[in-house]
Amino acid sequence: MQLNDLPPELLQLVISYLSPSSSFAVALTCHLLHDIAIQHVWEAPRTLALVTVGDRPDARLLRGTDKRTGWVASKVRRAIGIRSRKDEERVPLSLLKARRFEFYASFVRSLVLDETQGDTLSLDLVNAQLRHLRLSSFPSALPRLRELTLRGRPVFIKSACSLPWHLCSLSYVKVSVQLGLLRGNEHTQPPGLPATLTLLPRLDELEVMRQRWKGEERGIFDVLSKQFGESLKLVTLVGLDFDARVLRPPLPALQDLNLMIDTDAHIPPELSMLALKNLHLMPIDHISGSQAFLAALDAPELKGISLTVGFLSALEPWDHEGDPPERDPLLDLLSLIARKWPRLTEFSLHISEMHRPPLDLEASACWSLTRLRPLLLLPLLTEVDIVTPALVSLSDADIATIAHSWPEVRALSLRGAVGERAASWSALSVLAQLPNLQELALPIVFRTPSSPIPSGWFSHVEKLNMGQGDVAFPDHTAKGLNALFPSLKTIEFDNRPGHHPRGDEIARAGRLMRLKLALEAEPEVRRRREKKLPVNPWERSGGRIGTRESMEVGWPR
Amino acid sequence: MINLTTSDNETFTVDKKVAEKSVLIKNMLEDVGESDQAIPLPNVTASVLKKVLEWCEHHKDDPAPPENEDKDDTRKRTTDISEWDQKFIAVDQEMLFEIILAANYLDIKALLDVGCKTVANMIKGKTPEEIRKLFNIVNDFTPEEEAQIKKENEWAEDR
Repeated sequence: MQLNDLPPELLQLVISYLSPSSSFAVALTCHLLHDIAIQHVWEAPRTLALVTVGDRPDARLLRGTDKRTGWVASKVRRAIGIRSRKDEERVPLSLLKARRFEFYASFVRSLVLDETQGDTLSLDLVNAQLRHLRLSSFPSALPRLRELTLRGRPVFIKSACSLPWHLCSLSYVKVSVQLGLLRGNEHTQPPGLPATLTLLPRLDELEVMRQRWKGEERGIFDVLSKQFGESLKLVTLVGLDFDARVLRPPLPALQDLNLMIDTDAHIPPELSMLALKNLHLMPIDHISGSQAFLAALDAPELKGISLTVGFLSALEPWDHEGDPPERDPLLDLLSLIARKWPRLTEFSLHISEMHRPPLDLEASACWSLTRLRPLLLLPLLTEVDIVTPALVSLSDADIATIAHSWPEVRALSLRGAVGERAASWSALSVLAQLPNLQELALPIVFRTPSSPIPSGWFSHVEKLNMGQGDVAFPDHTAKGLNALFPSLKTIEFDNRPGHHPRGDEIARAGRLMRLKLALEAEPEVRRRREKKLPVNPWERSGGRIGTRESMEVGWPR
Repeated sequence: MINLTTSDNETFTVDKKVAEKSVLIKNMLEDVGESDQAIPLPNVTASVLKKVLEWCEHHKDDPAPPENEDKDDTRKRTTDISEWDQKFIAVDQEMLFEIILAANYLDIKALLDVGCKTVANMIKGKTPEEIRKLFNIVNDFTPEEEAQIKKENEWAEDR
């Protein structure tokens, strides 16, 4: 048994007690220890943010590492020849600041220039320092920069992209362009976004938000497919009238696509995205665009589909002219998804509309299991999240069918208005037997205090959300829940008023609050909430190394 | 009293309070409940467990460590070790690393800290060559690699 036989996380813990110079000595002994110790050598400077380097380090970022700050400061002072108080008076403050900037900037690995956070100003500050240091450009002061994020309006993005970023060896670039989202606030002609993007050495994520597309998406996608096809992994496009035909040229690395799409006016008959893993569509008032998009899409790797729908009416089989409905858009959409991607693992459907549906819709705005049935053909689903203002009417038998259809499910959320039928004890005891279920959200009404516990089960449910549910006997129900879900940590509910008279709603909110308090007072639940899971010692030591770095060195998490 | 069985099949009988210095054992007792059955510790040998229990016995009345110490950075910098612990941990390297491994497995945080601090103190202020010699580490860097690493991190060297 030797030092090197210790697992990496314990070596890490040992090294965390060393000063940077001692960890550096360790790093120079052999390859194995180098990979572990070098991270600690870099830990102190990593906590500094560049936004502040132009002036003085932000004390908030340095809390707890104050000794290190002093140590960094003394490094800087020595570098510019300050050894005593007298020297300090001789060296101009501006030079001290510039050298400090140089010192900090040389550590920066990840940089965010965000106009919405006022970073234009700090760029000016930086320029003043650069002049002092006789550096030609900002990137030349950042020898270790790897990740770059730019966020702002087109003019800001243009000036930020114009910097010679090719001087840094960037491994990840994210650009987020926000055109005026308020009505009438948008430039008629955006100032050449395609040309701006060509200035970047690489592009991994692009986000463009605007009110309405007016044809310039073509130019953007020309640049994307020609110049960034190999690196571009995530694209988010928000804005009406997007012409999906521009998506035809292949983007072979694209894994995540978020798209606002409403009608089927500009959907090509075929779209191929071979690497796509997650698709998020944002229809507003029509589902036809999403339906056509999904029908055209060839994406064999697709694992997750999310839909964020503006208005419930988009999914209701109700013709606005009053003609009898012929098809159910919701059923059609889900059937298409289930047919094309039988191995889907994540599905989410959110209706943004918060107000209750208009009266003539009310009778039909009810999501029974019949309308959701295609989803039951997806046996690999692990995350299901459905939020709708419609009535979600599921009987106990329906819940049993769901539990049977999704044996792998980890997070199950079916939230809607509470109808005549709401889940209760028998439904819960079926769900409690799903081996992977950890999070459950469902309108639940407890009319009886508790239920017999099924045999041979061990539920891992930790979070329970009972929607706009109700409870008749809060104290007894808390005990029953605690017995049924032995891992339960939190219970939540939606106490916004439902459709009952005001007095009843107040009483209901009171009962739910009582249930929450009773449950949290259970000693078992309290212990569970407080009990800490064992974590690896490095995390326990408060190490400030993030997931990415851990992956780099291959530490266990 | 609690029975603990080591990997080499030796059984130790200790006070519950002593055994519960180990969070692993404490959680086991909470989950399973007390019984006469011995708790198997397949990752620990008798000689190491004897040493670990000696430490637990001495520290059994220490207050539990504060819950929110995750954010406590001062702990990281100080490498002070109490006198008793210093004497306790004055063992050969082999045993020292075994104790660290066992403390990690048994989840005895304070003992793990003592072990790691001890190793850190052994390293402090030494040159890479001295560290290699101390821990029997084979230098697998080429001279070019070594120069490159030094160049990339020159700011970290104390001048």
